[in-house]
Amino acid sequence: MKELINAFKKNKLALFSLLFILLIIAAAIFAPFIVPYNPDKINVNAILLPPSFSHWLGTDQLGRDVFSRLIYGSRISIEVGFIAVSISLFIGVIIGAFSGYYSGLIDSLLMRFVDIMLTFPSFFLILAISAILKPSIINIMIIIGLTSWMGVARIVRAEFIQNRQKDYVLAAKASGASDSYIIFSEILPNCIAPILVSATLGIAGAILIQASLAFLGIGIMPPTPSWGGMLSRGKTYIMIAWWLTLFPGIAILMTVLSFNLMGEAVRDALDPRINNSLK
Amino acid sequence: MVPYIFKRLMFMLPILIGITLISFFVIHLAPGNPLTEQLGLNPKVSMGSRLQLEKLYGLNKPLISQYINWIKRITTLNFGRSFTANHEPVIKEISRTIGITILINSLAIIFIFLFSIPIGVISAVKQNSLFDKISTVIVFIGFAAPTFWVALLLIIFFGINLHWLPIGGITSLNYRFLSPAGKIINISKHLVMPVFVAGFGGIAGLSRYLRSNMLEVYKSEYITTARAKGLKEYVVIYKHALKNALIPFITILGLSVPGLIGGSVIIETIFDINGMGRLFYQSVLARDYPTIMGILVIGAVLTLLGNLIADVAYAVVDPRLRK
Repeated sequence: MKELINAFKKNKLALFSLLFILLIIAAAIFAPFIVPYNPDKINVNAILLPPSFSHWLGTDQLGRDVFSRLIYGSRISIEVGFIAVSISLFIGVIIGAFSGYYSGLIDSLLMRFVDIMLTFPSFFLILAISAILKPSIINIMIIIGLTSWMGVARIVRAEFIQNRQKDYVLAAKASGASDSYIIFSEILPNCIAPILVSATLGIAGAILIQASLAFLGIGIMPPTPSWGGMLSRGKTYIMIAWWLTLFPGIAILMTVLSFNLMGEAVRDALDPRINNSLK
Repeated sequence: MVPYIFKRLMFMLPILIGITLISFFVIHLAPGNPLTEQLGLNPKVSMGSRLQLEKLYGLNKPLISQYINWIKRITTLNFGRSFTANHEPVIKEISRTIGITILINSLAIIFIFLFSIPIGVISAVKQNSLFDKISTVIVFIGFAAPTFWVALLLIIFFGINLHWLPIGGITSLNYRFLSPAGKIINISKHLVMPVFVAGFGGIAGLSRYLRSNMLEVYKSEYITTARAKGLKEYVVIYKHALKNALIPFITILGLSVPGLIGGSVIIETIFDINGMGRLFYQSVLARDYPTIMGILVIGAVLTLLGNLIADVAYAVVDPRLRK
């Protein structure tokens, strides 16, 4: 933890990313107190207005305030990012841990399963499942989680293989601790760093996938504001209203960029190999 | 070399079976069966003829024998008929659209190769230079920018404002009247933006990857040796360092194939290209399960082929693997 704080102190970009993420999360939580207009309020007198003092980021085809909709849109992105990644961490950690701890047949079977899942173009798989299930936002989170745990599984497995033969594990075994105790209470806490890194990067990935799906009109019911959905609507007015395309895209870009930069910073801070090479 | 390729093919067989199992399972999550989709609530269809049809489709059999039957059919590339109005065989729909998808993705891979190698090499050789810093920033933005947004911005800028490039389709309206050379130029112009959008994320990732590989290789002893021998710096860079840094790079390039194929859904939809990605999207909206299942399998097989090509290329560059 101390390394982390130090890293953020030294790395200005990472600190800035962290602040931006906190800002977005705050915007998502306190949206009703921030927005100047009701995001769903239709105003026929203010259709497709360019950015101005009264509407900072302009208005859309129904006269709704783009800034207010962007603020509310952060809710979907943040929710999807955190929930989808929680699901993928849950699956990835369990599969990776069992695979790495037990090795042998269990390991080969689970890793073949990972190989198979990685062979599908994941966006195809996500679209196919969302065609079958009702594509509500909850289902979208579950689907993204179900199709993005493979990287985590591989990382956790590698960590478990490294730790399996270490003295503290052998000592726990000798003292008669159960396998599940060793896996979850002894080895897993030692793998937190790489899991944290892939979680941060995973949130960025999930936000991007959800935005793509919303852009294709899947998973978001209008008038719920979402960044991908706003871009999808804005596409129709691309010739006359550039602000409908530019701003939601910047919101996605900045959020994803911040999570990526933070993930990188955490990795640099916690990876002993990189630390040594710098010294 | 041949035994090596054979070994790789054998390794792919269980994965191929797994792919079909998952595709089959995913589609059977679907409510109803093909008959309810095709016959709907048509009152003219009696219970008796419904049962007869069920027998014909094998829907009365246990799931496992349905799966085996389906496998038997897809080995002859028979994916059934689409649920859409014209009931075209799925394989016909796929073969009509797959060409342009493969073309765009192959061009994108070439584009990724052409740009990520020099960017990666220069930023490693001139580590912490201005070029390195600027390319790092661009790489991170490239990672984070949604492809569909980049596509829209390009359309606004190059298509609408500057009128340099066409914004959709792969041929112009006057295509039929152009000379052969004019036709090629016309298609190329249409492909510039889709190929760029398909490739830019890959360039970001791979140039970054190559950069850290190069930096790693630089520390190894044979590079010091090569320098000590008095070899010119560009020989050290291109003959010794790059060759070794490229080895893992090829695998990563192979691994990016599923992402490229998945991305064609967005690219073909935005640029109005009649490819397999857009066909998949339309099938998803129409819940056309035979087509979805067919493209799911074909997409995964394409990925496997991409991996096989990467494996073979890997063996060509790294003789240790051929044994």
